[in-house]
Amino acid sequence: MANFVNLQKASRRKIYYAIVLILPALVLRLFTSLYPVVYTIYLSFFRVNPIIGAHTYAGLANFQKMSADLVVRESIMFTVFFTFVSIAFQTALGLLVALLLNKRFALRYFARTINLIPWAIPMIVVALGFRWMFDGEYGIITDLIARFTGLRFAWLVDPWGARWAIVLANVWKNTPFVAMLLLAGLQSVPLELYEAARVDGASGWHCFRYITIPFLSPIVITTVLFFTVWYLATFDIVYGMTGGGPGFSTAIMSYKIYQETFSHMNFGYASAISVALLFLVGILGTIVLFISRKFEILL
Amino acid sequence: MNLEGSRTNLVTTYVLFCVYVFITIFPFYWIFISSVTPKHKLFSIPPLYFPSYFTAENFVRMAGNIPFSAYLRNSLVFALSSSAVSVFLSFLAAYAFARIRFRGSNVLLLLFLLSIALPPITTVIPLYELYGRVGLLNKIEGMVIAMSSLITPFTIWILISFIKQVPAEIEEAAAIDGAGFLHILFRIAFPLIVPAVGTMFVINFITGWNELLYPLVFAVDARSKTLTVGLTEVALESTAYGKPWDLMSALSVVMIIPVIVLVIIFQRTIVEGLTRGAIK
Repeated sequence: MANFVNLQKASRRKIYYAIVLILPALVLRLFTSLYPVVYTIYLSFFRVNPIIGAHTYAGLANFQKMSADLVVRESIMFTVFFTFVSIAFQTALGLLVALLLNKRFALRYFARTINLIPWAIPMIVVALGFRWMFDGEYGIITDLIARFTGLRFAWLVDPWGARWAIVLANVWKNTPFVAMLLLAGLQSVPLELYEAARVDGASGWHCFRYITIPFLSPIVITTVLFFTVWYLATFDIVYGMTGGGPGFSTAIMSYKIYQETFSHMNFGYASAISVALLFLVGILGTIVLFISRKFEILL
Repeated sequence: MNLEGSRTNLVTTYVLFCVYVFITIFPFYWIFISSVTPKHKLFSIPPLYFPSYFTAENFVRMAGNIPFSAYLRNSLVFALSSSAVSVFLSFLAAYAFARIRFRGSNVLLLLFLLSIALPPITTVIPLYELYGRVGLLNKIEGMVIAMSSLITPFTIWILISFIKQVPAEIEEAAAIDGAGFLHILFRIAFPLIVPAVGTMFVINFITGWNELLYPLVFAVDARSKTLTVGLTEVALESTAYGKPWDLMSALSVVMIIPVIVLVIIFQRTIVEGLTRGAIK
């Protein structure tokens, strides 16, 4: 017992303690992730009747159906579009906001609270709130856009209008969060570095390029990676804001899977689309990881 | 830099700051205004930016439209329990990862973190079937199991970095004095990282309060449905003007207020907890 925290000797007893401590979290995690994923992959090869609970082996039938399904193709396209367009906008705008809030001025404390509030509220509230504000007749954003541009447009009735409206609502909610992370990064840069660079005659741009960016790039990479896998699983905003419509133009993959599962009771087919989503997350996650590694070396 | 230049700089800063605050606050303003505007004024073309009639009637009608108090209680129980379970299990695991080195511990931690990438929807069908078989469907307990598991990897990750910040000497000294394992864990290590545990409890509570998917899938009636599901139920109704935006706004305000209060109280520690993951 005496050498429990002694890091020199990893005694048998310490390892036993580690296992006991980690086991509850591990069991919980395996029960709700590994088991369901394996079972989902299994189900994707079956035709399932959830009412009577019967499974019939269907081979690749679900996957064949999926490859011919235009809705699924559209769904994959929109999922990827939503993920990367949102990330591009929120990162660029988040950087601007962080640089703005990093300036010394009287309201910085207030600004930090403002940054957290959109992060803290339920996505379903944001989704329905923006649906209301984008309403074709009574919507206030519709009205504002009409006042400034003369363009009165029923955004959520048009496929691309709806797609961009969803991205806009999402970027509105998450930009402050990204800004908060980048702001913390900016504040971690030692001020002496800038002073030293100034003394050596570096321009503002040089300071930004060779001091600020290298300090921020690991944070940008972590957030981009995190948001990539997170956005590929987006559900709430589509469920609340468009219900996948108009038509199926905004049926993001999680939403499509939900619909197949609980509206059409096609458990087997929904599982096949789930497998496709898992592949998408794996592939895009790896690509983003590799690109960001390369990028980090360049910076 | 001359004085003139820095003054225009400051003006630009304030102008941009006002634009940012306006964009961020505006949706809140509008949801709030919609919640206190009488129905016949709410559906105006063009919309009334600064309405002059206020009413609390929308809140009363909203609360009569859904089993409001049951949903509110479920939301609280669901968020509090999910947060408590995840923080407790994460503290145990994070302590082991931070303090005890053993073969495979890095791989195990990596697996925990990789599981963050798993889309929750891909696990829903098997859990739904299983919950149906073992009687966990329409039970808050079942929803809590799924939810606390979902937020555990992130919580472990953040807690590890907090625990590593605390020097191990105090625990070592206690061990030399003959303190038992449980004593060291709960009486010595735990008090040292109580602030971090509290921070994660607040963050996880907010995450649970906001969760839609699990309650939507696993809850069947007022025994386990939460406010997030309640909001989607109000949204299903339709009136002559479209959706009942007056009632939805009222419910939205009720759902927003608790988290805004939490954010204002715990602003500093929440920011520290959230940025911990990205910056080290």
